Amino acid sequence: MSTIGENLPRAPAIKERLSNGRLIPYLLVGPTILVVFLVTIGPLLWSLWLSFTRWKPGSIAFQNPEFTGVENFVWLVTNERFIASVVNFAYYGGVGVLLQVALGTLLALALYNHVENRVLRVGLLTLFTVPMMYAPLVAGRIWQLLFLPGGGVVNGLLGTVGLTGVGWLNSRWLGLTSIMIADTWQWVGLPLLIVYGGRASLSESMYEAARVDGASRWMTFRRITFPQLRNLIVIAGLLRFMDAYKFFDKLFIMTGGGPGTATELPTYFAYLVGFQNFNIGQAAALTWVLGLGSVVTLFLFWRYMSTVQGGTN
Amino acid sequence: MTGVTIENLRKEYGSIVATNDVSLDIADGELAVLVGPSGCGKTTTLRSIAGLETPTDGTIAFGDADVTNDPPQDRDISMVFQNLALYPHMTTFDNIAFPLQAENNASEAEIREAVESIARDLDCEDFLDQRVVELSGGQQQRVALARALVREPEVFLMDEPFSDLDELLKRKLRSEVVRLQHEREITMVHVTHDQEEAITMGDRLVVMNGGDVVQMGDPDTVFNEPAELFVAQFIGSPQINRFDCTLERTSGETTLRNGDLDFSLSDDLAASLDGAGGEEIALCVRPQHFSWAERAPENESDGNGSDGDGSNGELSVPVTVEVIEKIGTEDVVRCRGPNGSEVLAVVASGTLDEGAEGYLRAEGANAHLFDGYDEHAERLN
Amino acid sequence: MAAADRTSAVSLLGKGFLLVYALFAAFPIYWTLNTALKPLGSINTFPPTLYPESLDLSSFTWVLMNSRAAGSIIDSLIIASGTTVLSVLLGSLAGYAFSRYGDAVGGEDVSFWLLSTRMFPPIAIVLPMFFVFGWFNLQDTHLGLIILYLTFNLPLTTWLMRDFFDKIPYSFEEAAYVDGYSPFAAFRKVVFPLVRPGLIATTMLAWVFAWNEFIFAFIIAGNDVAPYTTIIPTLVLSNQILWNRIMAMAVVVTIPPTLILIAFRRHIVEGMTLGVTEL
Repeated sequence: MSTIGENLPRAPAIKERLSNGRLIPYLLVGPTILVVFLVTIGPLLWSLWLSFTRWKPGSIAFQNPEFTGVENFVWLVTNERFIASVVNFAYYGGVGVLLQVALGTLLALALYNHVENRVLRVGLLTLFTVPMMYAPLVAGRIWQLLFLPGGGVVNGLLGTVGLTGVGWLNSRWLGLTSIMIADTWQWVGLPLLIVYGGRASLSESMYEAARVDGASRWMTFRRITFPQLRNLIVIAGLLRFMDAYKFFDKLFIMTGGGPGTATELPTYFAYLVGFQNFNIGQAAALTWVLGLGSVVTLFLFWRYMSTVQGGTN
Repeated sequence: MTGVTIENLRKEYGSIVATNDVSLDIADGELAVLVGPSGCGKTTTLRSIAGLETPTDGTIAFGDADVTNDPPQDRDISMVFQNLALYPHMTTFDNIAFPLQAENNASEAEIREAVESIARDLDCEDFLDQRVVELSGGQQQRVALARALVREPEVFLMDEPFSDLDELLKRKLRSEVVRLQHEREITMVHVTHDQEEAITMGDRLVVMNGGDVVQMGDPDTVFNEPAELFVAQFIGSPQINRFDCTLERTSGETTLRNGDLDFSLSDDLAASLDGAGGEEIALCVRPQHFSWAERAPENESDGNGSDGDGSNGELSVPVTVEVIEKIGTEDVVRCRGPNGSEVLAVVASGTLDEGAEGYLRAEGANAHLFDGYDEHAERLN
Repeated sequence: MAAADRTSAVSLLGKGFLLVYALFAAFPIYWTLNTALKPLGSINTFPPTLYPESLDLSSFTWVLMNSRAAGSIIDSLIIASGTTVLSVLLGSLAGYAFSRYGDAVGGEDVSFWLLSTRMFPPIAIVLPMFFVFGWFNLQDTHLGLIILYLTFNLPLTTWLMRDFFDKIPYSFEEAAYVDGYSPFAAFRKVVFPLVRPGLIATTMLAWVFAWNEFIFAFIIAGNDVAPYTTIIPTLVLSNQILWNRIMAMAVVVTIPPTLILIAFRRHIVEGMTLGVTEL
């Protein structure tokens, strides 16, 4: 910065301003760091401490936590309910995210390739992305209504074509799948937008070259479109996967973890442990495990992003 | 290999007419260059041959086969794009191999052999395994050419692929393309806005303007006998000298008058003006056809003044040299003529100094006469 | 010819797929409105009535007139707006610093670290905050939720604003310095006008996230201060879920985010995808 001012008559003034401004960056960042410390980092560290403690039975007030080492973590990994919730998480985070990303990719490419009318294209894009703007809780409530076992419109429509309705939310795998359908309805827009943006940035003359070179549609997709969008598709998947760690609202409203505990996901389980049983230490241990998993995913995402960006430059 | 025949090609984009009524016939094994200013319809014509555009009207045939409505995949063509359109995520090898892999009937080994052979021809061997985005502009150009030449298509198309290169590289690649084209007797259609490139490369030039073909012919014909005033001014560098004259005929004497300047025409030239539509005649002389003289030509027939005439069919313009631009062994001299007009001439290097006064003279046979001042004015002689 | 036929077949398939998915995407939105316009008795009948036979606006009247329903929307408005103002203000300043003085303030690492705090499940934060808020009497207050919502909005606004500032070349400011402007004047005259679209998008996005929040509100508030998300799960009358009122509420509360998406689509998309894509 100093080299800019050196040859100019006003140089001393500029230098002075810049040297006086040495504190400016810290003043700008300071309030944010402070707030984040007070409302996030601090509580998180406290949570970490809590995860090594036990609360006296029946005592709700914040007093006399007893240090118990890794007892809560041991409890966690041996708890069948937790393990079941992790299995559910794997199903939701694996199949659900895959479904969203695959569907979003197909929609994006279909939209880009087969809808020439601009107004229609923007209209469909908006329709597919508008559920993203809904509160997840509201989206869950809407799908709960659609999936009602008696009188719900999904079973109602099945009934009118002579099929027997099912209890969409009344069993473990179907329940999780129904939640997944609702979640896909809400979030398919994210991979869609990412892939659509990526496809739009690919040069049109490259596709003309492929046509001239005699490539079939399938070969064009397999050798040209997909390899160049693969990174973005992975990024979209990671972004969605990170949200799975926090998944709560739809589960809360649609099944409440039920029937029984069949559809519980880890975050929901943590809520029950913490705020229904008031086993604060165990809940804290659980949330820290989840948080670290999520941060690792974010780290992978970030690393992936920088290698991708490094590679294309 | 096959010839290409285009009949009455018309392409409209909404209300814009890109090509109006283009007909041309490119022979088997010929290198045809479509040349013209931007917006003249040359790229649209090329893209129609490729099948990337569907004509509004007209037909395109490869040999006897009508391909007008075939998509590019079904035409046996290859093409080098203006921005090259390489596949950025692939290596040089994969880019060149791509068209062969699309054909689906070549073995791995055959593909490798074909790619390596064309890579040798175009000096791409050293970076076969590098990704194309890591290559320099010139290297990318070679890859694009190799990708197009790796097959033996019926028609080979090039859309201004050299326009972004530096002069040296441009010349080198041009001559390589011409060499390969001659060796393999490829039917090639090349598009450029650079008239010099067109003249150096083409077996035949197709000069286009405003969506129509205005002249077709070998480079010498186009250069020496431009069909329209537009062609005379577009082809040739430095640009042709133009004198807008009025025709005067008196007692067997035919004179073209440009302000204070008048040119007495030889009988041959005078006769060619019989078909003129009016009094307005544009007289053009290429700078290369002017030579320098210290003094006015001798006047034998009449005393028509010293400010320029050519009784024996010679044209002469009194000028003052203003600027000399060196272009190697020759100089372009920019002179101030009578009426303040600028006149250009090309002379041997170092023969003139700035400020010199004298005459630029040209033989009548080198004069081009056009029927009017409009760019569509037709050639008379 | 063969390739042309294949092309049109694929195109038809693509259009059909889009049509089917468009129906799937639109149906829940339509059904929300449809349910909101029916009297309670004609909801969940068999066969389903695909459109309301008579328009019953009483659910909407209830949403807008009932003190609990309308009050919850006002609570949500206050909290979302409050937290948005704070997080955009602080986040812009920090984002600017991270963008322009990156190394001095820890660069990529610190901003990444900030964003990573957003990845923890909200429960992890709310466990201790539940007690802290007890001491400071922040439970069931607007201020309490405004503060809590900073936990997810402040990292977001910082990250996004950094991204938007990064897109403005520093040479613009240098040119202004050379022309004799103070850093503040350079910011106001050169940087701010260029970053404004990004700032608006960030603001809108932060607002929508706060508007839609449920779990903090559910645990920390819900009595004196009850954002609409805490009302949606409850509306039950003698064991009957009041679907028409819930869906009327859903219609009303999804209007603002929908309008925001339509108005700021391009920039919102960039924000939603954390700057991965520009559409």
